[in-house]
Amino acid sequence: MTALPLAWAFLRRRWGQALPALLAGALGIAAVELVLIAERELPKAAERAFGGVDLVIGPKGSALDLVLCCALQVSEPRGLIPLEPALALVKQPLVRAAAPIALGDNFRGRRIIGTTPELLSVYGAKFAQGGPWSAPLQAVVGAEAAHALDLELGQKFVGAHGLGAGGEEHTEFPYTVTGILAPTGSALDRVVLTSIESVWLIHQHHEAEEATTRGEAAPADAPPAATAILAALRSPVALASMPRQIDATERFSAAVPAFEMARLSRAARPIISTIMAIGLLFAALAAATAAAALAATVSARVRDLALLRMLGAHPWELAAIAMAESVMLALGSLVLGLAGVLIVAPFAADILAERDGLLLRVLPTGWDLAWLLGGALTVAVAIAMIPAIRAARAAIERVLTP
Amino acid sequence: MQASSVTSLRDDTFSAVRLSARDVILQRDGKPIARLPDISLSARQAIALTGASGSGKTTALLALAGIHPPRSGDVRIDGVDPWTFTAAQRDRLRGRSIGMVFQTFHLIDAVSVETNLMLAASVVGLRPNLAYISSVIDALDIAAIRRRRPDQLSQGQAQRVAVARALVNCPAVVIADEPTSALDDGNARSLLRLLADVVRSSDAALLVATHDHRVLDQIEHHCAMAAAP
Repeated sequence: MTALPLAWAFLRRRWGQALPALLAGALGIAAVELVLIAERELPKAAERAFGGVDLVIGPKGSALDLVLCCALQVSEPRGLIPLEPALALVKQPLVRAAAPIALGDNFRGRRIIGTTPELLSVYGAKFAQGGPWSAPLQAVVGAEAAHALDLELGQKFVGAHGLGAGGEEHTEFPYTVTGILAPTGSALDRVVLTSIESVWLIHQHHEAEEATTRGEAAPADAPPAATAILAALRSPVALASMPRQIDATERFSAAVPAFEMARLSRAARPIISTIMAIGLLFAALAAATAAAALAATVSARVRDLALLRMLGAHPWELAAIAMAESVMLALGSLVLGLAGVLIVAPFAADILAERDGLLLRVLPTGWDLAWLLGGALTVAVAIAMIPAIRAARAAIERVLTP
Repeated sequence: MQASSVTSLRDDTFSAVRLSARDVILQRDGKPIARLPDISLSARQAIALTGASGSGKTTALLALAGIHPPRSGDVRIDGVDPWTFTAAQRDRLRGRSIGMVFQTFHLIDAVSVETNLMLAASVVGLRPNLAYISSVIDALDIAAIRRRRPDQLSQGQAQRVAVARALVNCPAVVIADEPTSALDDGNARSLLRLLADVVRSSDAALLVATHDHRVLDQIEHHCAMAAAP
């Protein structure tokens, strides 16, 4: 009989003692893997999310707010900017493409963004089906939004007031889908695009209705406004000069998504480090629990191993059996822990995508598996040495005599 | 019938000395506790080691099996002194050349009866002889329990399994500590008959520590533990 079936038999016989070690190990491995995924994927997801947007121009206020609201499409807008002077800021050779965005409505929780076709150029987006709008109340849907909302070419839908689901529906202004975008991995995937004139049209009508309800006169036509301008630049050099020029104006501020995400990442570093430390602590606790569980069974194990010595087994064979048992526990923990990650991580990714617009790839990589496997096996072998050495040195007669 | 089987052990036509002990003083915690009478057992010979409880019979068996060192004296298994070996070498010699039956059986609880028997061969690098193991299982009437774990056996069944395990490798010497203490008369007779058969057919020697008269009546040669000098 080889070490493996014998170790398996010992494990099955003491499954009640092995279970805590298995679960603690799985928890530790899952914690470490989640931290590895988060540390690797969050910056990538953020970078993907703002796609080709190099610069966001909005009203005076927090640059991070501008990025979160207008590049990542996750937070509320802080105000409006007059369109003409804002567009004038980006009419220069340093800017490759620029487009205004106007927020205010949604379809089942997905933002409807009023813009110009140049926005597709800013993000480098391509059509999977159909083409851009050519008239008011036509819409182009992002890949993920089309899937989630079950929208197809030619289909009509009605937007609702506000950025979250549940607002008052603009039933008089149904949109028609003219195009569906190919996936970009950016925030564009999760939104619905239309002409900025469509948004203005619907909101002017909405404001007039509200004024009528209040018994007031309809508001006079206001100069065209937008939530922000999104721009893609020709050169990184422009990133150094343009934001300063724009910030120097009275009405506008500029935000560079890459800078803001780097700043956010630096700010989040202590949190990520803490989570990493907690993950490692779990792993250490798992190792300690596994060691304690094995140590608790040392008496039974030493008896079993001493009996094998009595039958003629070599100390190396005893060590092989102890290690096989420990390695089985480690591999069991690894499989269980990774299964836990595969179950939990997609839920966490969905929440992040929904709440923060970050599209995470949550599958463990080959490197993750190699690190986790190496770590688990190292701990397993180290733990197995204790009973193996004790059994090899044990005085058999103490075990055999009643 | 079983008497004739065991009596046949007295047929000294084969003279190779399987087990010998000379001037062996036994110790416990470094202090002398008893003296083992000199023994020289050839193939197919049997001897009963007698003595009151606490007289050192079990300690003597452990010394002969290379498990507990004697204070002094010379022990040989097939002409080899196990106490000149390293612990690992002694373990391997014991596994291959000595079949041991303990009072408390010492079976491995995690595996089945059948696996316990096969393990005795495989841990010393021998391929289990399935036909021979089956014949031992049949002779000891434990075929019906071969798939059970030791903790699912009665005392008598466990004792027969322990005896079967001791015989699996056709050892040079079978050392048994009160092998019939948990058996009824019928099973005790079967066990003695099997021990006699195996010892005869494999040219082994048999040493039994016992004060069971059912055993003593079947073995001609007896020796008694003596007090330490």
